[in-house]
Amino acid sequence: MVTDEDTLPFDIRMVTPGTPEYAEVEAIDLEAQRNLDYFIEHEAVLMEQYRDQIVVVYNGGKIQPCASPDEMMDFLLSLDRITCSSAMHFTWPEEGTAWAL
Amino acid sequence: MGPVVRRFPGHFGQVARPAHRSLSSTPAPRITLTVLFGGQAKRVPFMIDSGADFTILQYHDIASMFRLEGRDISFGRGPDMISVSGIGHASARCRIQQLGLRLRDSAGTPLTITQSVAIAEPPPTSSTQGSLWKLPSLLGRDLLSRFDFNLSYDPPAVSLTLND
Repeated sequence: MVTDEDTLPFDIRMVTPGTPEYAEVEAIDLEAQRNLDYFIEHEAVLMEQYRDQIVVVYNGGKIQPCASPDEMMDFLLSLDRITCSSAMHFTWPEEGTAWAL
Repeated sequence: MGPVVRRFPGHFGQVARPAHRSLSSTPAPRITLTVLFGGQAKRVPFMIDSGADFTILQYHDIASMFRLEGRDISFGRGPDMISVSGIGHASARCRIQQLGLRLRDSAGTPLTITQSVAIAEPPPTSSTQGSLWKLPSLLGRDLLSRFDFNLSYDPPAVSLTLND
């Protein structure tokens, strides 16, 4: 049974230059930017090749297609912490489908 | 000294083949933010959606961050659960959660905003609702209203601007 005890705390701990995780978050941002830059440059090709899947971009240009969110989660959690957090994943509407958000 | 103007660049997504031959596709504006919770961070691409009342994170975009923190998100009943219409053909249940959202301006300087966002409950794996799990996270008007939102298709440009 789910109760409110299971919910997340509301006093989040922010990462600022004074907190121990700051350098790690900076590293995540920089690595993620490499992943994003790669994705933007190659999105047209990736979309053609993996349109019905989830595409994970990591390590600045490595690609892992995943068939489902569960498969993606297993893959992400198999990576080291910084690689996992900086990996970016993308999806597209399936053929014949449009998004009206 | 004059006001400081900080520009946070976004980008356009690629145009997918249109769903129908008589429809044209237009690239969607995106911006990438780092979502912060506890000691974890996760970089997430958002589709900018001025039609969304508030920012909505898809569960799958941040689930790994919570797992690394040794937690998960509960979508059980409670005062912080709401219903949101407009995601797919049915309403979605969302948990309201305070998170950090970090942007980087064009000079690389970070800006962190702490605010409540809605985390959308994922459809069941065996869902008959097709590909709802593929929907992107949305950056809505709650965050957009803090900035000047610049969107141009000719020439192509997407950015948020903060006038300090």
